Amino acid sequence: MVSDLPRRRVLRLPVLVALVLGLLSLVVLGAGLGSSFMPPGRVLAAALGQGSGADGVILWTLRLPRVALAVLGGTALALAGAILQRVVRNPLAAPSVLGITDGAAIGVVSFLWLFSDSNNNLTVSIHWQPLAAVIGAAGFAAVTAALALADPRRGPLTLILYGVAMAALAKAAVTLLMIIGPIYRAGQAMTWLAGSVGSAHWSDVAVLSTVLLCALPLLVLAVRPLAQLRLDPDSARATGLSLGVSQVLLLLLSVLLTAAAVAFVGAVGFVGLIAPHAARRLVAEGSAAFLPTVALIGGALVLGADILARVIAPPLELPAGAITALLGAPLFLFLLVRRSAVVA
Amino acid sequence: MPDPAPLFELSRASAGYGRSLVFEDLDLTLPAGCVIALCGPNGSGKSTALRSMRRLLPMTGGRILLSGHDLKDWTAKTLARTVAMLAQSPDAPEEMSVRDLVMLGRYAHRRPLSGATAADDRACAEALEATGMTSHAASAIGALSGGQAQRAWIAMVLAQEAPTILLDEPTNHLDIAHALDVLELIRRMNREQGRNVVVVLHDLNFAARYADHVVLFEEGAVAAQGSVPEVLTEATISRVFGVDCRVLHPEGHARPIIVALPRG
Repeated sequence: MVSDLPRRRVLRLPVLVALVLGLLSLVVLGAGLGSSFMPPGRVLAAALGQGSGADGVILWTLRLPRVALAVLGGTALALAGAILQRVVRNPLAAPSVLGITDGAAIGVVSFLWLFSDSNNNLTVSIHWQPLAAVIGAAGFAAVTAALALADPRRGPLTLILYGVAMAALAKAAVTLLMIIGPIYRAGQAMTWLAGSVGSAHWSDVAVLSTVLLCALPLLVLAVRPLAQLRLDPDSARATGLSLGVSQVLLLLLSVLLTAAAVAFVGAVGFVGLIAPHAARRLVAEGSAAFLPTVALIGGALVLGADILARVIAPPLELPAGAITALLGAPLFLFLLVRRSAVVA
Repeated sequence: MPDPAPLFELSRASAGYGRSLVFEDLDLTLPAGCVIALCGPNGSGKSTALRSMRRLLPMTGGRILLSGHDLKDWTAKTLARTVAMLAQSPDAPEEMSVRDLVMLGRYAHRRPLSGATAADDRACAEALEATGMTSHAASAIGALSGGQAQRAWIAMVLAQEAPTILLDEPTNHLDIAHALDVLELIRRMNREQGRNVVVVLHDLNFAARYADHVVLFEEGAVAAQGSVPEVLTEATISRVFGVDCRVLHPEGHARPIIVALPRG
């Protein structure tokens, strides 16, 4: 009889352990890449303070910040995507699909444009940049949501179509602002076009990890409302969920995570779409292991994309976002074709 | 002994969708302690009234009292512990197991961080037992038949352990045997567990057979309400639905049978 299956979902430990090990190997590999390749043995030795002094300096000041930023950015984008899919009850939703990622990029580029002097120096502190990303992301999320809510012929694809249109608009605006505006640190151009972690500093890592640490207790509190959002709106409310409040708060959390990631790793697209779908293949969505799995996959995805972006055509560095889009866009098309999976 | 407060008391209540009101200035009092059927033609306001009573629809005017207390004053979770509702087209991911679905009915009883308590487990087990779904607890809801799926959703509603249960057309899409199963189950909720039941029913014969109190809606107003013999008369049904009908009283059956006659 099937009812003899384990009563409660256990934390899927083997899956999580495998993902952590995979992520660690990517970290060692990513830290080895650079103008001079360091094999994994030397990376580990340098990390533990056993290697040459030069190796240690290269590793700790140049390479690990980049690796850490990729992992944290990927984690934030993936969690933002998992939350968003639940809030709008649509497996096609993701921060980049709904224009939130590119909205954050507009915030950043406008910030750089408005507050640069004629010598391309910023006239205000760079620490305001994440706030600009939040404003851009929240603005685009609000406009997309308002358009979808105001549409009387609302169907499962309505929100997605408005999002795709808003994302296209934001992408065009970012490109335009970069070409006509004086861009602070022009070398960062790639970052805002498609996402890159090429110029990472520990200070960036510190801010992004602070945001993620602040989001952690909120995510824990969100687990039960997120589970309730798997029900249709009437049933969710009839079981006691304050639907509107939960949706707004979770949408805000998703916007904040997206904006924080975009402020530091750029507009890396489709991570929030790929990671939750990949996680669903590994653990049940109702399981306590789901969000940790999503986070680990997201981190590994952006780090892996950054590694690939550097080894495909050296010495050229492709934007990591180009790699994730190469994976994510076909997945989006697949989900669109197999639309029976779309719940309204 | 004074009469207990009515279950629901709508006074000059108005509600609808967007700018079009489904009912306006509706006055309606529903007694506690019985099975109440809301009937009426399509679009007459019975589902809208039910959703308003569960506060799923914002009121545009008037007020609704639940056990004497304004519906506006209840917190989301207190209301959920008092009134549960089976929606008209409930929906959850098809890979979700029946047990996980039923546990979602416990939301209003659980704290944000703790796991399921013994009370949660007991309520879920009892709900599965009452609906005959214990042996399907581990099945994915997408793998169930229509009748089983409906019972799984009713189990979720029962697990909420609310003294009042609202059901919006629970026999929709069910064949006659499964529809009767569900209605028997609904009556047992009232007779054995003492719950108040308000159910929207399309089929007047189901209402005639299972309801203690019938409310007949017509164009956003109450055309008649009371016991089955008082409300389900040939004259009233013919007027409200615009069909010619006969109400038959077969020997050996306490409840009447309603037959619509062919037009012309």
